[in-house]
Amino acid sequence: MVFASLLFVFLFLTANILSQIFIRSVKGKNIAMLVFSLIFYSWSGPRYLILLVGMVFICWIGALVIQRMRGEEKRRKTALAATIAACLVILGIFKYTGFLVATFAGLFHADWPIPHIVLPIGISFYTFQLISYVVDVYRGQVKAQPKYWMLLLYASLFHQCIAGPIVRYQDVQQDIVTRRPTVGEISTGVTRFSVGLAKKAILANGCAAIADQFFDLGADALGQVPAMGILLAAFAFTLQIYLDFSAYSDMAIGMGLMCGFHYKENFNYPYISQSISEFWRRWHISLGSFFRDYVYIPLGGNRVPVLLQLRNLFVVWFLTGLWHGASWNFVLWGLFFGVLIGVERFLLRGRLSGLPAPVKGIGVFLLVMFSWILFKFTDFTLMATAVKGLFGLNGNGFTSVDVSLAFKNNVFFLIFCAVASTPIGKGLRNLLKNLSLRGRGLFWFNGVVEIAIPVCLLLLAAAALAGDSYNPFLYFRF
Amino acid sequence: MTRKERARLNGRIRGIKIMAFAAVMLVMGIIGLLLFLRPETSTLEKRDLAKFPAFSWSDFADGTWFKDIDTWYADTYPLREPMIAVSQKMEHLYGIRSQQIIDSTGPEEEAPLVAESIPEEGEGVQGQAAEIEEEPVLPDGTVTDLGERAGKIYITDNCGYQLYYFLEANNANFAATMNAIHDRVGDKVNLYVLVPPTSSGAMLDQSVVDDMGASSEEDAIHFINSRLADGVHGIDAVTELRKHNAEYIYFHTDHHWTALGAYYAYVAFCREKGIQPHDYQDYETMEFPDFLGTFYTSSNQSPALASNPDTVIAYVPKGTNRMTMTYTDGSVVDWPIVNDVSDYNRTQLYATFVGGDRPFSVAHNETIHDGSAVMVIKDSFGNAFIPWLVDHYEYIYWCDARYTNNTISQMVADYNVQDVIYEVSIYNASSEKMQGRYATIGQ
Repeated sequence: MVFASLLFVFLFLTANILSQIFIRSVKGKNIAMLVFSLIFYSWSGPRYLILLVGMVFICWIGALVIQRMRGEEKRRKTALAATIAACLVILGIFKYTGFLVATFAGLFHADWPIPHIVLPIGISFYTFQLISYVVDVYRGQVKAQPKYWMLLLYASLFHQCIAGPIVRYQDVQQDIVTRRPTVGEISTGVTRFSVGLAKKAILANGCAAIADQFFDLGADALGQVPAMGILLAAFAFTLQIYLDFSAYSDMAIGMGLMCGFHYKENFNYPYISQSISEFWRRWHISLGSFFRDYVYIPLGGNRVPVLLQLRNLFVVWFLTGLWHGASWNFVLWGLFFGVLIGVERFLLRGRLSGLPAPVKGIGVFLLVMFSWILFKFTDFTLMATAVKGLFGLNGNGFTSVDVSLAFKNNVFFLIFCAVASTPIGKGLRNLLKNLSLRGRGLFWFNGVVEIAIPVCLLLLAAAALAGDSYNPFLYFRF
Repeated sequence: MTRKERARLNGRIRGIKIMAFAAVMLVMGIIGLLLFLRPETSTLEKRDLAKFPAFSWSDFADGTWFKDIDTWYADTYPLREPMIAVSQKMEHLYGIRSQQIIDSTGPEEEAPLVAESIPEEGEGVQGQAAEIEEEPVLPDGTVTDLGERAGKIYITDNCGYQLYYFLEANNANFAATMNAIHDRVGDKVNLYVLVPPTSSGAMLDQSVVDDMGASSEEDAIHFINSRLADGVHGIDAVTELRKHNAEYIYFHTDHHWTALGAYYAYVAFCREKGIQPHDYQDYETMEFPDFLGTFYTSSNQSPALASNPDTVIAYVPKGTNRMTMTYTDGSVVDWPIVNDVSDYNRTQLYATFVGGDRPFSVAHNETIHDGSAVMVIKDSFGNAFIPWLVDHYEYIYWCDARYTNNTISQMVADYNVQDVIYEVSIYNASSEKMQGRYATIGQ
C-alpha cells in the first residue's frame, strides 16, 4: 500500500485514526497500531511479512543478549557483530544477490543465471532502523525492549516503515509507552499530512509526468531529445525526487503527530544549500546521520590522517550510493557526492565562501541536478545518452516543438514546484501568523486559512489521485 | 484582543480544523464504502472498470490480490469522474495550454486506433441487444464502443489532432493485401480502397506537422494508392478533404470525421466510380449538440476540448433509414441507419451512425430495383460514410474489419456484390497489429 492512494487515505488511515481515538489505553492503541501496520506491510505481499517479523526477532534477541552481557565486552561485541551481520546478510540476499552475481558474471565473462529476487518493500529502511536499535543498546544509549511485539511495532510502524524517515528507537521509545497527542500536535499533524499528500499527488506526480516525457524513452528516442528537453526533464526530475521523498516524510511526520509519535525532520529545504556538504545536512537527514553515527565516526571520522579520512569518505559514499539501489549507477551517484565533498573539504577549504550566495546556490543546484541524471538511469548507455544530450552532443539541436510545448504547458507549475522546494511558503505562512497578531480581521483571516488549507489540499490531492493513475513511488526500490 | 483570548480562539480554530479534516475523511471514506454507488463501466472512458479481484492463494501471497483491490477501489470510486474533471481543471492552470501534445498511450505502445481484441458477447451494448428482437432502447450511459486509444494528440485552439507516424512497411503491406484481394475476386468485382486521413492530415498545415516530428498523412495515403495494382481503385479522399478544410469536416473533440467530411470522401468515390453524387443539402438532418468525443476522453477530460464541444450532424438517407445488424452471437437487430441519440451520453453521439461497430450489417433500399450491391469493409470512419451509399445501391452490406469473421470472397459470392469498398483510416492502415486481420478478411 502507498500513502498516495484513495484506499489508503479514505479507508485505511481513517480507520486507523478512529482506532486511535476510540481505544483508550496506550496498550490497546499499540496493539491496534501494530495490527494496522502489519496489514499495511502485508499489502505488498504477506510473504515479506515473515522477513520483517524474523529480522525483528533476531534484533530483539540480539539486543537482549547484548544488554545481559554487561561487563563482558568481547562477548557483547561478538553478539553485536553477529546480530548486525545477520541483518546485513538478509538485506544482502534480498537486495544485492542479483546485482553481485551480475557484476561477477560480467567481470569473469561468465554465463551465470542472474537470480531475480523480489525486493521486499521497505527492507532498507527497517534494516537500518533495527541496526541502529541494536547498536544503541550496545552503546547503552537505550534499554533493550523486553517485549517482542513492542519492538515489532517500532520496526513496522506504517508511518515510516517503507519510506522513512529512518526513525531511531530512542526517538520514539517514550511515545510507544506513553503518548497523549495534544490538540496543537494533532492540528499540526493534520496540516503536515495534507501538505505531504498534496505535494506527492499533485506536485511530485506532475513533475514525474514532465520528466518521463523525455527521460522514459528507449535509447533511440532519448538520443533524439534536444538539449533543452534533457535539461527540462532533469529539472523536473530534480524537483520530483525532492517533492516525492520529502512528501512521504511530511506524511509520516503528520500521521505520527496525529497519533502522538514524534519523528524527526528528514528534509530541510536542501535545494537552497550553499555547498554540497550543506546539501547533505539538509537532504535525507535520517540517512545521513545514520551513516555519520554508525559508519563514519566509528571509522574515525575526520579525526584521522588525511588518507584515512579519504578512505572513510569513500566507504560512506559508496555505501550511501549502494543503499539507494542495487546498481552501479547508484554507487557512481554516491561517489560523485563523495568526490565533491572531498574537493570541498580538502581542496577548496572554504575558498569559495566569498562568492555571492546566489552564485554558490545555483552552482550547488546544478551539480545536484546533474547527479540526479546519474541516479535516474540504471542503464549506463541511457545515462551516457542523456549526459551527452544535456551538452548538445547528440546532434539534435537546442530545442524542439515538443520541448517548448512541454515547457509552456507547465511553466507556472514548474515555477510553483521550484518555490515549494524553498522555505518561501513557510515564510509566507509565518508572515501571515505574525500579521494576525495585529488585528481582529487579520486574526480571523489567518484562522480561515488555517482551517481551509488542509481540507482543500486533501480534496485536491484526492482529485489528482483519481485523475492520475500514473503514481510512481520512487522509494520502493529502497 | 488579549493574549488569553487569542489563545482561546486559536484553540478553537485548531479544533474546527481537526473536525473539518476528520469530516472530509469520514464522508469520503463512507462514500467509498457504499458499494451500490460504485459504477461498473465508464461511459466517458468507454471501458469496463476494474472488478473486485477473485481470491487466490498465489495472488494473496505475492500481493497481487491486494494490489488489485487498490485498483478496484480507485477505479470504481463513486466520485471518480467528477474528481478527474477537477484535477484536469487544476492541470489547465499549470501553464499556457493553448497548444498541447497529449500522449494517451505511453511510449511503448504502437497506439492503434482499434480495439485490442474482438469483443465478447455481453460486453457493452452487444450483450444487452442480443436479447432484443425489436429496436432496443439504449439507456443513457450505455457503452457502445470499445475503448480506443488516440496515440499522441496535439491540441491547439481547443481542437484535437491525432499525430501520425509513417510506417512504410505496414503501408506497403496494406497495399499488397488490397492487391491480393483484387487478384482473388478478379475483375468481376470493382475494388475501391478508401483510406481517410485523420483531422491532422486534412486540416493541419504540413509545416505544423513537421514541427511536431510527425509524418504527412497525405503522403502516406498517396504512397498506399501508388502501390495499388491496375484495376484497384484508390480513392483520393485526402485531396478532396483538404480542398474543403475550412468547413466542419472533422470533429474538434473526436478523432472521426463529421458526416460532411465523409460526404467529401463519398464525392471522391463517386468521381472514381463515375457516378453523380447527391447534394448533401438535399438531405434531412438530425443534430446532436454538446458532443465530447475520443480526444476528450483520451486526454483525461481536457478542459480546452470541453470548452469547444462538437455538434454531430447526421444526414438521413432518403431510400431507407432501416438496417439490420448482426452481433457476434448471430442475433440480428433492426436498427435505424441514422439513429436519434439525443438521450445518449454526450461522449457517445458518434453512435448515431449505423449503430456503431458491428461484425455484419445490411440495409435494403427498396426504392432501387437493379440488384446493385456494395460491400464495405470498414473501421469506425466508415460509419459516417455508409449512409451516403444508401441512395446508390439496392443492397448495402458492411462489416467492421475488427469484429468480422467473414472473408471477402465468401461475401462476394454469397451476396452477389459488384462493388467492394475497403475503408480503413490511415492510422489503421499503418497499424502492424491489424495487418494480419486485413489479410484474413481478404481471403
